[in-house]
Amino acid sequence: MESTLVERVQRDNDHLAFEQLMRKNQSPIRQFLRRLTVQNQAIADELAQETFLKAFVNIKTYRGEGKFLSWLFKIAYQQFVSSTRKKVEQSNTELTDQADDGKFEHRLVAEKTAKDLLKYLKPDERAILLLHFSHDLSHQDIATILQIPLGSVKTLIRRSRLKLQSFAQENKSENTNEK
Amino acid sequence: MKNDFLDDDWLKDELSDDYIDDDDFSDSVVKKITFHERKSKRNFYFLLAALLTITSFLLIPDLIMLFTEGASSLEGLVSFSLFDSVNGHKNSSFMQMEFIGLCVILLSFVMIWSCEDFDLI
Repeated sequence: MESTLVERVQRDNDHLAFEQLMRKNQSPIRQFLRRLTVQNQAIADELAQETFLKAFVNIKTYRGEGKFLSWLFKIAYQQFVSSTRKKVEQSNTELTDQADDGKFEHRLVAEKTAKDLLKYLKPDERAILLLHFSHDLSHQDIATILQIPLGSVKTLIRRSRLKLQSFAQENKSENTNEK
Repeated sequence: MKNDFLDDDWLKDELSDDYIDDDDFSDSVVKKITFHERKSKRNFYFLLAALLTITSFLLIPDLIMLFTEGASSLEGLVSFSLFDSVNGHKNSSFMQMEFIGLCVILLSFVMIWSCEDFDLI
């Protein structure tokens, strides 16, 4: 079904077919970008729109190797990285990335869930946890999306979840001390 | 908060989000796609129009002269018309040819814009 729609877009520039593909895939892409941009919904949706526009323009380069959604995730991640880079160049400070190489100060008192703690991770760590746990992608797909060696995926997942765990533990001890 | 970050199922559950779906999003993207297509077509039309203009300006008078007056060599005519265009020494028949050339250019523009309006390309 999905491959037929992709073929229609590739062959005839079919807007209706692309709209159907978009309806099917918009939710995971938008969820992913919202988490990556630390719940900045406006920026995330803008990036998601750019992602689908880029996908439409470059759809002929999609050769059907791997899932269509993985291909979209790759574009979305590239959009996010380039927008973050642009912002850094403009303001010389990272606006969306609050990660600070693991220096975890006394900021977590109000943070309650794993989702809340995600924002303290670096973008690639955040992305890898989301792609693996929230979107259930294989290590191979993740390596392609993030453009990292396959061997690094497992290590990065483990490192990121441990980091998240340490943040949560600090959060817990902060709360206990306050009481 | 239960700290069980090494439990896959728990983390999966923690990091999953609600399904997002709205027509406005799809509509905005479709609008962006349509705008993008028009914009890229427009660049193509401008390029086509520029090519046509240059070609017409350089060749049409010569071709007309070649077929109507039976000139001896195209090479001589090209240099003649280019020389005339640069220096402004034009005889009446050459002016006429330039006028026809301009009409052809104008018609080309009309054709190109019609193609865009009726979405023929």
